[in-house]
Amino acid sequence: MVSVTYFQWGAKNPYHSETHRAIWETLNAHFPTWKGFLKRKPDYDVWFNIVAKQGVTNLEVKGPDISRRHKEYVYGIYLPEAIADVHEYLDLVFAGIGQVVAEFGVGAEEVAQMKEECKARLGLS
Amino acid sequence: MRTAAQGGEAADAARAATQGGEAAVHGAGQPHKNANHAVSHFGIYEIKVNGETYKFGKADLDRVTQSSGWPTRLHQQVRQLRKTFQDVSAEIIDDLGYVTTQQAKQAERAALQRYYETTRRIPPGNQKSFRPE
Repeated sequence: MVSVTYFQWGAKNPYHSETHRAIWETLNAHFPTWKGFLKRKPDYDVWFNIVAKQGVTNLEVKGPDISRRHKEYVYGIYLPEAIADVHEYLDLVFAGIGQVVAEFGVGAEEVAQMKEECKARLGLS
Repeated sequence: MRTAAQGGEAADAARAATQGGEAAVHGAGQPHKNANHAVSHFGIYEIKVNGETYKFGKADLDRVTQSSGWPTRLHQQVRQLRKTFQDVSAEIIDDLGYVTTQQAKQAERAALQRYYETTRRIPPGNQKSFRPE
């Protein structure tokens, strides 16, 4: 399973509530195809934490924190404070997710497809 | 949002911590963070589940899980919630700066009381520990 959570610390994420379900559904629909991860860790979750934190100016991806006890890979996707609109927000979120899933053998085309599917779920495409 | 402007109070508290005899001692003479006079960089957080307030709490903002960005205490709580609920978010609503555990507890209680006076609800995650005034 893929979890997506959100953390705000001195900065706001005004797009979280309108986009969360679409991001979550899209990622979990594709998760069974992330063979590079599932072959290695079939019983583990992937947990993305989308962070809005004061002072961040560029997209940063941190992690993973790996917990054998909790069977999870945790990644932080740190968003820049200034985001123009929901389109740029989704571009940044999927750019961060793309950096992570590239390690699982998921190509840029599939990431672009996930982003388009997500936008379609939101009626943005 | 508050900053670390309570420096004088924090310094006093730190002195009290080193002089006090009642402290629960942790490690090399440092008071345990649960001791009321222990000083740390505390903040008040609010967890929301599916857009609704679930819990207020205090966390040591100097203890952060590096990759995820969560204060460690918050990380542990969100881990449990994410397994049950799809949409979990959290925010540091008040950065208290360097204050004592007791001051952080008071700030936590004040946040809960404000929430209760506005909504007449106690958040689910605080129902065991909070009694409104």
